[in-house]
Amino acid sequence: MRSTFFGLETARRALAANQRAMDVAGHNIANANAPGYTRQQPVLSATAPYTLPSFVRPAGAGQVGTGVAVMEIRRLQTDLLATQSRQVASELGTWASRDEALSQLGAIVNEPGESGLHSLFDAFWGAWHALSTNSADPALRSGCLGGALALCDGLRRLAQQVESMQAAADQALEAEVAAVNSLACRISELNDQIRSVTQLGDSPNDLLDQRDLLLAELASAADIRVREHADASVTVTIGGFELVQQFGLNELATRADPSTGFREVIWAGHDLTASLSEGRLAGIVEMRDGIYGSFLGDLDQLASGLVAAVNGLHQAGFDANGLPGGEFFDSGSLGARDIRLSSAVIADLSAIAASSTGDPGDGGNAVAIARLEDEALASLGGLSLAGFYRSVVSSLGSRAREAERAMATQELLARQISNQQAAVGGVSLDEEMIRLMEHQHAYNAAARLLTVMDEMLMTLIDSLGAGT
Amino acid sequence: MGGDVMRVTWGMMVDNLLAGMSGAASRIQRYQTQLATGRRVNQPSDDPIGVIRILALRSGIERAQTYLDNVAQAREWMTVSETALQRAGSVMAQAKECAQRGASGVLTADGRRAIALEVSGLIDELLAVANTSYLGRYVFAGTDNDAAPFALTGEPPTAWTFSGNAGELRWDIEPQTDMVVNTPGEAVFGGVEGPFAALIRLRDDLLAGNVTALAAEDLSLIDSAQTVVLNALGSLGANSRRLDQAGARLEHLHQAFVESLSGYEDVDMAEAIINLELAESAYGAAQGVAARLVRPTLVDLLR
Repeated sequence: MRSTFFGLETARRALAANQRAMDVAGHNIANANAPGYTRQQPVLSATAPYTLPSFVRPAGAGQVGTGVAVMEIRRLQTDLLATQSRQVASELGTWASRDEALSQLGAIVNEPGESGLHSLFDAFWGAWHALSTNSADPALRSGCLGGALALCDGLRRLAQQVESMQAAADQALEAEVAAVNSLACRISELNDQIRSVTQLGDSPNDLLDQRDLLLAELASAADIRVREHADASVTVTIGGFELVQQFGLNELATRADPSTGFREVIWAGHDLTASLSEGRLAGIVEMRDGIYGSFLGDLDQLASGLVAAVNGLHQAGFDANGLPGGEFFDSGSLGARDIRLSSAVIADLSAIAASSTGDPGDGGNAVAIARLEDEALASLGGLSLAGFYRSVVSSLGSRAREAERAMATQELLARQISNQQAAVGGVSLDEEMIRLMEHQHAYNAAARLLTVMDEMLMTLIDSLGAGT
Repeated sequence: MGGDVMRVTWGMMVDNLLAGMSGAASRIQRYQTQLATGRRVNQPSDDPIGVIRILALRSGIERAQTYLDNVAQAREWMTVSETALQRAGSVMAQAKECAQRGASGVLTADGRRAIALEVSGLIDELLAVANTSYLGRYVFAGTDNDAAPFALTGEPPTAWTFSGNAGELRWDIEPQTDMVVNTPGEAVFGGVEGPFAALIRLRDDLLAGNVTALAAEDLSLIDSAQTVVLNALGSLGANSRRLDQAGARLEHLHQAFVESLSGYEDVDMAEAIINLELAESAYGAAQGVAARLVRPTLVDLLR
């Protein structure tokens, strides 16, 4: 025997479930353009059926449905895509730093331009060639001095510019570590909130979205590994070190490396600079040490090769007064950043040793120095000075081009993955509108059901009850 | 709903569109830079291998110009030397004529003295020739060339001194190739059988009336001095031909370098303009799509 009021409850459930579904559609529509938002889906399911007892068959005459309920509000996210997207973000972070460093370096090297270092070398050798034809001419001597001063200035300026970019990269490391810590801190807070919601048996969809967004940001800064626990909290590791733990976090810090003077990234006292593989942090370290640092090293090698080669010949010659030549470049300089001429040459033009015999008219030593232009130097790996510089510029160009292309590829990959994520988890307004309509109609129908029930009960109560 | 059809959301379309637009915009910028500078390679990454060639070719052009300057200077130096040696040759020719006249038996002592006076003039002229300078440098003084190398001693002069040296002026006229541009003064003008010796002896014999010596030894002395001068002229001529050839080679090299530099460095205008137009039309198309994408959605239709 069924209950007289049985249908009322079924209609109520239908009203509630469809209203809930419309709320979810509304939430989706509201967040259609919110970054990191994942579309949610109500999972409607029939509630447990009711078995009608009967006289002949106490159980089994047929089960009666009891209506519908929203069992769960599902978040349409695939973990695999999230992991992939984080990996791509890390690689993109590295390449972005590389690309930035290399294109800045390309801009200040300014080759092949008329004001680049290469043309200063050309002018320097040209001045020695000119001096060789008339070594007593003060105008040619001062031309030679001018060419050498311009070359020194050019080398110093280039080295100093790269050094200041290197220092800026070192500072950026500090800022990046602070950003990583702030992200880690927020992820850890979300961990706690998510855990408490999950323990109540609910799915904290929006909190999970927020955490995924922060994890994606963190991934572009460092190559993180994310491990999810049963209570839905995550552990985040960088290079094997736990940044965010299941309970609490352990922040990164920086300290100055006593040998280089540059910052290193530390975690609980461990230097993890070398364990950083991808991401902006690793990119900045590579930018500072591998790109700017190695370019400065190349410039220093070039400068000391120049100083040694020219001084060696200069000291074998004779100056305008017939005296043995001294240093042309100051051999006390440490490299490109402080290359300078010897004080004797700056003080007196006649100290330039252009003669190989001591006769004022002889320009043999100037010829010998001018010929250094094409001479292979052992200290430069068998390349000439200009050849070495050209190979440095060319490898800079190749690396910059590689970075540009890798950036483009990674961006494309990132977009593909984000499209795939959007295909699963993105909000489609058209779809939501249809869902809205669907549930609206269902809601209307349920309301109609209630009216019918109401009329039925009226018939029952009013017609039968009034007859007494 | 087809299961294998990818869900496409509005956000995806916008993202893709923005990426396409910024890609097209950066291509437009690249081709505009190429057209504005006229250069295909504006930074090392534009062509990492080409940049090596471009820099090397620029050095090559600069250096070819340097060597051409050296060749021009050497040519001037050698022309000055050549003119001087030709004058010395004509001095010796006149001296020979004086010797022949002086050797004539019909001449009086006064007549010979007059010729001796003429020869004294020739000695002075020879001194001027031997001390020829070019832009303050004495061409026959070797590498010690900032002062006049030859001087006469005695009045009338009986000897000469040479204060220069036998140093060679070696200038690079081609890569790693030098050439001696100066003529050794002492070897040409000095020496016991050189022009100075011959002229002084001729003058003395004329004054002394030493007719036999004038007819024989003096003449042969003048001839051999003349030969020394002519030999010096000959080797100058050979060097000057070498200089011409080097100059021609350098001109050719310079031209070749300029042409290949232009090939590596200069932008192909037609190609760059076409590329720019392609990029611009892609950009325009993306803008067109953007305008259509902001179309009404189902939201507008369901009223």
